[in-house]
Amino acid sequence: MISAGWRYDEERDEPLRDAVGVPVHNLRLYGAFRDIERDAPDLVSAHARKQGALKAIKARYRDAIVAALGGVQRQWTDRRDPASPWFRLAIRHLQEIDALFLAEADRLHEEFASTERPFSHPSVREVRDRIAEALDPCSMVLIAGGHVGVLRNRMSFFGVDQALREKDIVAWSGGAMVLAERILLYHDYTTHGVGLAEYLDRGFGLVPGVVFLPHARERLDLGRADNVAILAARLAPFLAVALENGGGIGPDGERIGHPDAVGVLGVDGTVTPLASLPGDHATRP
Amino acid sequence: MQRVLDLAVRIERSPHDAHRLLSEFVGRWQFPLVDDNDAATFFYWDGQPADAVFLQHWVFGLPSRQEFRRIGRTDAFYLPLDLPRGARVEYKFEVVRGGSGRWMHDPRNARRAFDPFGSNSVCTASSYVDPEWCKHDPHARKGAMQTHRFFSKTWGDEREYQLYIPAEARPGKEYPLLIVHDGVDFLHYAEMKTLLDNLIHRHEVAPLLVCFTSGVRRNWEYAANPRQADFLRLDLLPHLERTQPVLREPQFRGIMGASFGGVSALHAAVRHPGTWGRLLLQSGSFAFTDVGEHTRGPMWDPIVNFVNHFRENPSPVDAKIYLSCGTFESLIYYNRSLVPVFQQVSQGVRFAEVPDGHNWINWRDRLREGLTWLFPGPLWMYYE
Repeated sequence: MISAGWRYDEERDEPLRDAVGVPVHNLRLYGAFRDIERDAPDLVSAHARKQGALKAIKARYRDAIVAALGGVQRQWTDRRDPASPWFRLAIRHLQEIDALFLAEADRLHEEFASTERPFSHPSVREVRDRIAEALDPCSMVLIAGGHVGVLRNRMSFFGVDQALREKDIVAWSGGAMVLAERILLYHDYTTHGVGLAEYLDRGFGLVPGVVFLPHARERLDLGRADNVAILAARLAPFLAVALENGGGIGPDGERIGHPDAVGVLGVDGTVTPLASLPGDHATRP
Repeated sequence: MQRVLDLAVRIERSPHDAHRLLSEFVGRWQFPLVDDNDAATFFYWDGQPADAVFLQHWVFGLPSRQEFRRIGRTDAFYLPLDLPRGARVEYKFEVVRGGSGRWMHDPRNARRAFDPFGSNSVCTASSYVDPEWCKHDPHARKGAMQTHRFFSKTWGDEREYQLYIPAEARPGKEYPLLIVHDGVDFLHYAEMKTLLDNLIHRHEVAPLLVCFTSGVRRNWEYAANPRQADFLRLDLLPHLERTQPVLREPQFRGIMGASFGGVSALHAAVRHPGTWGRLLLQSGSFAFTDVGEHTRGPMWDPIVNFVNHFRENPSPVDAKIYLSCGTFESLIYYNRSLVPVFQQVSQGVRFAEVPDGHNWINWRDRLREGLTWLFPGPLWMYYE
C-alpha cells in the first residue's frame, strides 16, 4: 500500500486495513523520505533545489496560462464553436504552454537524476531494496490519494513507479491521477476565486492517453459548457475522465459502478457517461 | 410584517381577547420575524404597561434610535425594518416606563453576540449564512495554544502573547507567521482557534503559527503609534524568530487587526517596509480629513495625521492586503477610499464590504476569505 499522499498521516491506515481484510504492507514512502532527509542531507538539498527551480518555472507557467486562457475564453464566447479555427488556434497556444512547462519539468527531473544519481545513494538504495522485497510477494498494490504532489514526488524519488508496472493496482483519487499520463490540478470553487487548471507534472503513464479528474463535480463547474469544452479541448488528445465517488475503471478499461460516476468531458461542452475506455486507453499493461 | 398586521386586525376586532391573542402570537413565532425577502419585524410585549419602545442599533445610515409602533391600545409594539441581503444586525431594545428608558436584550430572541463590553441581540436576514467553518469540527485536528512572556525593550515591560501551533507542526519544519492585534479578543469573540483548526485541517489555509498579542494601553498603543510598530518589528518578531520555527521571508509574515488594530497593522507595514508581506485589515479606523479638522476626539489625532500623510504621499506597502469593512459602519467611507491607494502601492488588494457592523462576528465571518487569500493552503493539491 502507498499512502504517501497522506503525508504525516501516512501510517494512520487502520480503517483501510480493516476494509481490505487481507494482510497489508504500507511502503511508508513519506516516512522513508523523512529518513533520507536525515541520512542524506546533500541529496535532499539537491532535490529541494530542483523542486525550487520547478516552482520558479511554475510561476512563469501560471502567468502564461492566465493570458492564454483569457484568449481561449474570448474565442469561445464569440462563436461557441469548438471547430472554429480561432478557437483551435487559441487552444493550440495554450497546449504549447502546457507542453513547454512539462518539457521544462522533464529537463529538471533528468538533470537531477543524471547529476545526483539518487538510486546509487546507499540510503536510497536501502529503501528501494526494502520496497522491492515488500512488493515481491504482493498480489496487489493500493494507492491512496491525498496530496498528489507529495505522492508523485515520493513515488518518483524512490522509483516505485517502475516497480508497479508488473503489478495489479487499485488506486483512487490522487492515487489514480498519478497513474495517468498527465496530472492536472483544478478547483473552480476555492474561496479566493476560481483557480486556473494547470499541470502538476507528468503522471507515470500506467493508464495511457488519459487525464483523471477525481471529484470533478465537487471541484469543477461542470454545468458550464464553456468550462467543460475548454478543458476537454485543452487536454486533447488525452481523454479527460471525471471520476466520482462510487465509480471507477476496471482492468480492461470498463466502467465500474454507477454510470453517472464516470464521465468523459467533451469539446461540445457535455459530460458523457463512459462505458469503457477506448482500446488504446486500456488500463491493463 | 403581515403577521403582525393580521394580529393587529384580530385584536381590533376582539379587544377583550388581546391578552390571549398576544400570548398565542408570541408562543407561535420566533423573533424578530424575518420573511424570505429579508424584511424583519421587531416585536416587544411583556404583558406590562410600557410608554414606548425603541430599537437601538449600530447601523450607520439609519437613525440609531427608532421608535416602535403600538398595536391598538395594547402594550405590544412592533417595528418593521427591511434588511439588505445577507445582513446581520446587532441591537438592543430600549423600553420606556414612567419616563425613563431601560436598555435590554430582545427578551424573545436567544441569539446573542458577545464583545468585551457585554452582548447584543442579533437579527439576521434570511439570506445570511452562519458559517459552518468556524464551528467545532470533531474531525479537525486541534492545534496547541501556548502562553509566553518576554521583555520588550520598546515598552520597557514584560509582554504576554498566546501562540497557536498547528496540529501538523513537525520538528525541523518552518511555518508562516501571523501576528494578531487584540489577540485575546480574537480568540474569545471571533473563535479564531477553532476556525484555524478547521481551515488548516481542510487544507484551505496553510499551516501557520499565529501569535495573539494584546495591547496594555490598547487605544494609545494601536493609534498609529511608532513605538507599537517598533515593538512588533524590533522586539516581538526577533523574539519569535529566535524561539519559534518561523519562515523568514516577508511573504510568509502577516500582521492583522480590526478597528484600531487594523490601523496599527497598516502603520507597522508602512513604518517598516519589507517586513510584513501579508496584511489583514478589518474595519480599520482609517479616519482622515480632506479639509478641516476631524471630530472624533484627541485619541484619533495620530491616526488622522498618519492616514492623511499616507494618502498624500502613499509609500510602497510591500504586501498583499486583505481589507474588509461593514457597510453598517461609519468607517466604510474611509476603507473604501483607501482601496485605490492600496491598489497603487501594494502587491495586490482584495476588498470585501458586507452588510454588518463594527463587531467581532463580522470580523470572524471574513477570516476564511482573508486567510485563504493571504495564506492559501494546499487544497489545490489535495484529492482524497
